[in-house]
Amino acid sequence: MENKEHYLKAFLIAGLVSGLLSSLPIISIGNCCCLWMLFGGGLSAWLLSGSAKKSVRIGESALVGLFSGLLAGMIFSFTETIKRIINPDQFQLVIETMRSRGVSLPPEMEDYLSQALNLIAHPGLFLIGLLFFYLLIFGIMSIIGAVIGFSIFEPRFALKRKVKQDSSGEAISQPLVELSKTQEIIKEGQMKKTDLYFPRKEKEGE
Amino acid sequence: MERNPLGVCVVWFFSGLLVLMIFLPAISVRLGYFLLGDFAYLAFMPFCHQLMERSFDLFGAKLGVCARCLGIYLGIFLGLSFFLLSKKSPARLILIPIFFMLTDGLFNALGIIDSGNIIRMVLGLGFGISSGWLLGYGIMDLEQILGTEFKERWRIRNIT
Repeated sequence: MENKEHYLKAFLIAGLVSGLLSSLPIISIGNCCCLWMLFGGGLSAWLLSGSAKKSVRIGESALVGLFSGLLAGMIFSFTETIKRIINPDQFQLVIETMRSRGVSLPPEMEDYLSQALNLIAHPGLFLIGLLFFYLLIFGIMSIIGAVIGFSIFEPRFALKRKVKQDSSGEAISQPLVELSKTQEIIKEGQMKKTDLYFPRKEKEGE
Repeated sequence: MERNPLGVCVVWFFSGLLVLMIFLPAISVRLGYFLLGDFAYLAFMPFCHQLMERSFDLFGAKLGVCARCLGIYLGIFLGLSFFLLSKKSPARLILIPIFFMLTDGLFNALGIIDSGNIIRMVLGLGFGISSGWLLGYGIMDLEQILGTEFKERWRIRNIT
């Protein structure tokens, strides 16, 4: 974890932005395609790669993406619960909407369903019941956004770091030696360029 | 690289649960427990528009999400499965299906084109498989990083 000091800023900003965008009334429509969750993950990867002084690994981006997703999920769950408390009638609208979507119900089941849904509509139970589900989706989608962001942004920021290092006159002999060794290995065909970012899994028995 | 896909298996399991939840309305119609299906609709409501004309039906019940989202969630599950079974590392080409789907989504949102359900599902599937494969790498590397970090702290703790 070479860039530990940059994790907090990256996931806090990305998580807050993603959580707020997912909670705002009209803007949250973007979450229909998981847009804000992916955006939050990508933003966390961009912030981490941009501020890191050393090279970032895909696992570090995934970690920051995960934390930003969990933070955004908690913010979203909290705001959904507040909405239930403020506007309980909205839930009746939800029940009517579900009925109108063509889900056929036997008449004897309707009372049972209404009672069960009214129980779920209790804000505390709602939060407990769906919190895990929201955190799961936000977490997975944010990690996906973070690894996609890593694939796009890290090569560019790595190049900028190298150029900055060269121009600042810092000791570059050791990194250059490692870079030339890597290039030799790539030339000999022992590894491909993509293995730098997506290391191959070892074969069985090696 | 040390191969230890435990974390990937955990995420694969939960992504499978998500796919199961999408088909829950259809399963609930067959079993007669409609509450399960309604719970699935409620759970996915913040993440999908669930429009009837954009969703597939199974056993007379609309699935929990639209065609595109079905492709995405199914694709993530399949992508993680391919990662667990494959030994190849992906090339940069893995990002192409992701951009295809984002472009299709943007053009549909702006009203420039109107893709059918099958096209939406196929593009979502491409996005999901690519994302799932990348996700596998991310989680595997994350496991390595955390494992190294905890081993180091444990070693230092034992020394001191």
